[in-house]
Amino acid sequence: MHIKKNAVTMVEILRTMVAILCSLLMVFAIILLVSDQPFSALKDFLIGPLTSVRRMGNVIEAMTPLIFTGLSVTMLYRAGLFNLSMEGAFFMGAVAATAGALLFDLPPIINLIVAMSLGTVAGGIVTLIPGVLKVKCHANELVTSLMLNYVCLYLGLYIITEFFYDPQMNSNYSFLFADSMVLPKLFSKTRINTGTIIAFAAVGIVWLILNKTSFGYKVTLVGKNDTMAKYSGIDAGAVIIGSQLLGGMLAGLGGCVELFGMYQRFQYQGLPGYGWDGVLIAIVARYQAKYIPLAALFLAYLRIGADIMSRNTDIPFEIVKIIQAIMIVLISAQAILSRYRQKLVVKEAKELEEMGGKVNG
Amino acid sequence: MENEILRMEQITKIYPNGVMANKEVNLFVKSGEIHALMGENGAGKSTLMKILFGIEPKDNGKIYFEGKEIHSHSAAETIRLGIGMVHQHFMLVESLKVYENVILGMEPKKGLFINKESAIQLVKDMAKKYNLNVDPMARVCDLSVGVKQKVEILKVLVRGAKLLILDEPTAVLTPQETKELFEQLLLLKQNGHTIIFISHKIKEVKQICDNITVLRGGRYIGTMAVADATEEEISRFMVGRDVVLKVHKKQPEFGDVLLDVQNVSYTNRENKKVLKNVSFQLKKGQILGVAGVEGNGQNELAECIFGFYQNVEGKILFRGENLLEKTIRDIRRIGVSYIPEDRMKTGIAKDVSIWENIVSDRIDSKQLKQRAFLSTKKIKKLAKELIQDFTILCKNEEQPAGMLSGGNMQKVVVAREFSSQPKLLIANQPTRGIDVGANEFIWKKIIEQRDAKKGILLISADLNEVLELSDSIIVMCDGEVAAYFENSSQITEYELGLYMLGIKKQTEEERRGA
Repeated sequence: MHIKKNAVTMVEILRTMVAILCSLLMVFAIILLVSDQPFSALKDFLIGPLTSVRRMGNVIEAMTPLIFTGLSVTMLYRAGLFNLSMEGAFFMGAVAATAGALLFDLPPIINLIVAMSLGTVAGGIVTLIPGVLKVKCHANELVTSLMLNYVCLYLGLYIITEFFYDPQMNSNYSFLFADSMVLPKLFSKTRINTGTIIAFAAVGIVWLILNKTSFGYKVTLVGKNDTMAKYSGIDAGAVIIGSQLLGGMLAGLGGCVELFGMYQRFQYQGLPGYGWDGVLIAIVARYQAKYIPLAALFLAYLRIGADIMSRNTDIPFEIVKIIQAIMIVLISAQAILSRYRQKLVVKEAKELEEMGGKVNG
Repeated sequence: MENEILRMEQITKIYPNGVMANKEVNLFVKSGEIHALMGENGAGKSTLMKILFGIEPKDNGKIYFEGKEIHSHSAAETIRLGIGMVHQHFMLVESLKVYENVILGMEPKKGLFINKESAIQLVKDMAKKYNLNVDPMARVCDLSVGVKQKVEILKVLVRGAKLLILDEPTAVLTPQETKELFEQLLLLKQNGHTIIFISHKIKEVKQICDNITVLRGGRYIGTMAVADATEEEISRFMVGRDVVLKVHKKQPEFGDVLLDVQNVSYTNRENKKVLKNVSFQLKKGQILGVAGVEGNGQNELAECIFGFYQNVEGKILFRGENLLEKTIRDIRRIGVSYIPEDRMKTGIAKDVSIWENIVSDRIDSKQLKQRAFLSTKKIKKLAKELIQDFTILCKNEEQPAGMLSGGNMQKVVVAREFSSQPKLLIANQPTRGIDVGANEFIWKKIIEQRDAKKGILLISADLNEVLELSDSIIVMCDGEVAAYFENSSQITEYELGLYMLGIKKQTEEERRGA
């Protein structure tokens, strides 16, 4: 029996592609309709990010936090929980890292590591809360995690303004970090830093955990059928809690990397939204770690392209939101290609049927 | 052909998960008859009716109603054509009154408002005409199941149905209510209505139906006139085997006591005491059958032994260790395996691949690892071997388990539970709803295990299975052990039935002495 790539899986991938393509086409149509200079707008949007090293750098910089939150959502969701507190985890990661950077006075590299570890743990604790509430009290994680994000926002802002507020600044910014508290840059002319390397390392680690460890296997099984997992002797509660902790740690680490890679002080005044972007990225990547960088790169490219377009033409940056919205609707729409899918399913079922005939005969 | 009201030809339906629910099924119904649609669970009866009703699209085949072909259609259109369905689970708004339920969606209007008087009158007239005694002003939630069913039938009749489909209507009724229903159905028949009666109860079908169409495993088996068929013939059609399955097994050789269940009681979440002081022993090399009408505590007994519940009273000793103090993980580790009753919910995870399903109980085992990481190579090798040993029909080990047929899904469960080398196997309805081939295979495997000096606790609602396979039998009734028979060949099905229904009960002496 030769092994054939599962045709139905191929359709699923094709569906994602179709969704992306459709959303882009729709946005092109909108640009053509409303813009006075549609062609230069389209040009900026599509190839703008490739026109200079700095802009290419911008794409990579924008991609980095998205990889973290994409991985975070993948991890959280694999266990079957719609835990949306990765947004708060990212934010609290940055807050805790700020505290770590400003409170301690350790040797340079060690202080950075300590601060980032602190941020990572803080992120983990945030997503752990809905996870524990789910396991221990059967509280719906969707509700608790969404509300928790606001708790994180205001707690974080309180911590920054109460303890680390720099009075010389007009806004609620923290003190400047020491010069050593910066992730080293990798290329001149860009702000690409070692954070991107950490992001790719995280992709590798998450891939290993999900595909090559029994813990990752258990997370998937619990997510697909927790009754069956329990019956198989798997402690579903522990697996859920572990996965939620890990997912939040990824988001928290993302917050640290963004903070120390791109800023010299804590400047967020609201939730930065990378967590929500993570949901889109994880969906596009079909909850598979190996596709996360690709999906993050895609969204980052769109963002930078739209940014360039908005500065040069009359199309606002928010056009990206339209693409995102259409993409989510299309990808989650089961009806797309469903006839084609059904045709394949029918074909496969019939093949199997014939095979059965041969075996029995 | 002239008086044929419904003709479904060569209907094929494959669900998106790849399960072939109907394969080239035919159903020809004559005008004015009561036509039985029969088959075991999972035979495809409901799917066929859903296709007729336009709830599920078909992949192939043709449907003619009163000579005209119906193409793709909606449920609303089906109703307009004159086809009505009484569902097994009632589709009624509990908080509304009977007449409101009946006219829902087709309210007689007076200006902007519902014409209440004419609505009530309409319901009254209909009820009188068909001798369906219901009070139009009663609230549905206050009605008994039998009366609710009448409301459902009224609902269908008010909409002008010429063809009525009743999905297992007697499943929820008492014998008296059933008798009344049959009288009403015959009255409907006299009035020129056609009825499709879905059931798997042969006696009832013989009582009121004219013709029978039998489905098995999604396939069309045949149509016959009730008058010409004996009950044995019908059951052979449904089950698909001429003779009752027989197994060849050696004389049992019992070893030491393996499982010692002592005074186990369990009260479930609904505060019902489902196990009462259950005690029995299972020896090495013994198949102990647990007979009983379903819902008399057999399933709970199995799940207690396998560590599903907390707060179980008593003791369950397995080789000297009390299983009630252990987690499922530990129970598996010390050599107990369990084939659960519900394979779709408990036995497999249908969205993940066959290999993932096969290793779910041993994913932490060192044999599947290469250093600290899982070895895909080793896992897939194991999966391939088991697929071959257990003749699981699939494309390859990557296929999602949910795409397999019922019998092959069960083989995945059996492969996992048998290959873990258990000392004790609990088999809870191991052959329910699967084809004969898989059934025979699983029986053979169970006997192999017995001959290898393993202990087997066999729970089954199928009396034939219990009698054929078991060396010894306990009967459960109302959460208690009603009888114990050391030698299963000394008891008849009839006698077992008496204990199962609680008509007879052994004394404690008899049970222990055996």
